Amino acid sequence: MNKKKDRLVIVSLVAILAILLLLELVFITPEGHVIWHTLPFSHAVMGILFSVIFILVAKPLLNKILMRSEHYYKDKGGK
Amino acid sequence: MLFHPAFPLLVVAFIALAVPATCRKVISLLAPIISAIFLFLLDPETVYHMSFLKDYHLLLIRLDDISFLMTLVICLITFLFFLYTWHQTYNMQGVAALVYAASAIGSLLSGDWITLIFCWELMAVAAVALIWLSNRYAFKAGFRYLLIHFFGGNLLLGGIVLLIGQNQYVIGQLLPSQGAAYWLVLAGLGLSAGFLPFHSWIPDAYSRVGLGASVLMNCLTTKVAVMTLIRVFPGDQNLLIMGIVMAFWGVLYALRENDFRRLLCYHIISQMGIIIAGIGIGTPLALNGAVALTIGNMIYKGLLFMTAGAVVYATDKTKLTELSGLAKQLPGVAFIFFIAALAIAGMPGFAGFATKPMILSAASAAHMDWAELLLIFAGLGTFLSIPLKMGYFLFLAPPKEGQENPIKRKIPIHMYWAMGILTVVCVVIGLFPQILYQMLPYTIPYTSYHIGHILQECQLLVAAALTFYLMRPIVKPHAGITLDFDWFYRVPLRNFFLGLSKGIDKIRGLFWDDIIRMVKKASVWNRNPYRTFAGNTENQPVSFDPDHYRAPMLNNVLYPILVLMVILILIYVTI
Repeated sequence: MNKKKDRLVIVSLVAILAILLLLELVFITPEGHVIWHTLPFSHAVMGILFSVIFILVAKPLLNKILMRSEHYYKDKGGK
Repeated sequence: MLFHPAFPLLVVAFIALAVPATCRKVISLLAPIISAIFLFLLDPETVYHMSFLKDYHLLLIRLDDISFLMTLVICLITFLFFLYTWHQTYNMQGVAALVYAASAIGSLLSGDWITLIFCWELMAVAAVALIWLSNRYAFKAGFRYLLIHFFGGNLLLGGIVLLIGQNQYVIGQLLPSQGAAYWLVLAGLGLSAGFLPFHSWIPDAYSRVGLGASVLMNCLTTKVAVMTLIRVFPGDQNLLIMGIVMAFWGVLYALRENDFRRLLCYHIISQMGIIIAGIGIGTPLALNGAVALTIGNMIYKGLLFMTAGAVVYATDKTKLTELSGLAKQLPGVAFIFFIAALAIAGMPGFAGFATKPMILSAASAAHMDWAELLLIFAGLGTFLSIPLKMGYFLFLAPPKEGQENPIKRKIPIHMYWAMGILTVVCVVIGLFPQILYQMLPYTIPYTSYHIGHILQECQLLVAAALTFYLMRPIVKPHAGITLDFDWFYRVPLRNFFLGLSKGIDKIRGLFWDDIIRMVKKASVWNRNPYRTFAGNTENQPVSFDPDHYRAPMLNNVLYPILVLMVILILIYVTI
């Protein structure tokens, strides 16, 4: 049941994204002086790329450096 | 007749001290409405000054577009705070809240440095009172807040003293050429705006205060600080760099947080960062964007704190690892949460889409392309951390195996009323942004609603949602805390002072017996100096000696005088 639901969510999101990309090709004339204004689908690419970077840095990387137990400060004698 | 808009709040605060709880609640609810009426009675560009010292006039009111708009929203939020906390009758937090709001309005309307520093310090004291009165378990967090803000207040005061020395009495733009005054004022204001590395007081204090108090606190100290930064440091490149660093720092920590109230607090730092970056860009469009984003944050972040408070009220839990699937049990709260969350993420149709893109457009128009790209990057973190992480794991994720119904009490109707009013404001600004744009300080034609921008923003958000959904096992919250800069003053600094204290105590212990012996000998003399000078005192009555059981009075006089003399001699020798 959960796998079906997962698939439905993913397929829906991919479909919405595809429609948005199609609409961009139809309605938007690229203008600007930087690549993320002129390259087609740049915002979709940025959305995926930046999210992957954020998630990987915020969780696996910083877990190793900054994660402590919930009682860390109490164990150190403070509150 | 001219009335200061902070006046009704202060008067009601005094009256509220002496009246029963029900009456106190009613008049507290009315006070912000009267303040708003007083604000509308002021003529545009009003300046009201009062004689203070020779050649010095306090500018108690200097009304401009920014102070008008901010004061109006503070009145709204203060009213909603009292509506939201209507069920609370057990303490005097309302009095502290009134003084807090009054001092924030005083700071915003102040036209000179002395009035500003007075209101600024009062705001810090009232905020600490609110922390302590709204949650008796937040004593240490309140104390840390007090230390940080008094430190910042003293930096600001130092800068103001130097500015007055330069004959600059009126609040206005400062430049690096003004030397120490510039840096001290920047540090003093920045500390209250959440500048790194002194930002930890925001999650430390705001996540521990009472549920309603967090709504109010979110809208006052940091927001007043950034509005003052707009008046004093527009276009300062230092602010652009600091803002971008804060924008990333806040969302990275928000993405890591397990406590959803702390998550929202960290997100304040990120939003402050984007606003401060806007001030750093400094063009009229960027400054308009900074004001609009500040107003937007007061509204939709206030709403997020209200929904978070409603969840805590209903469940007594604040951890994402302890809650899930709440949309079924609290559908109204979930609905309001997602309106506020999509607004803060900048979804077209919601308030954030009307406010945040102004700063990005300003960066692009000013050819600060790297700043625009970094702000798009950091802004995406908002979508990942609030609607996606908090929204999914708190409201949408399937309930954990064996999870009991977490709802312990029904949410009172007045909480829904408060959230409902703010939701309406949030939606109206989203659909009709020109209402807000007309009130901004600069008249610039701007609209975020054009097809290209809407499609690009939707692409960005849908792509991020897809990535989040695929990577959600990695984002899943875990029990634990994340170390931040407050570690420095909570562990090593604390250990340093404890070590210092123990060291001094050890030295004192070495000489203590000798000191006691010396004091005892001196006490014999101090008890009756007459005996020494008068010689034989055998004929005096000895049957009752009151001095035998009481400390010699001369001790209390003699030793301070001796210490003072030593200090004076040291000062004399040093100077």
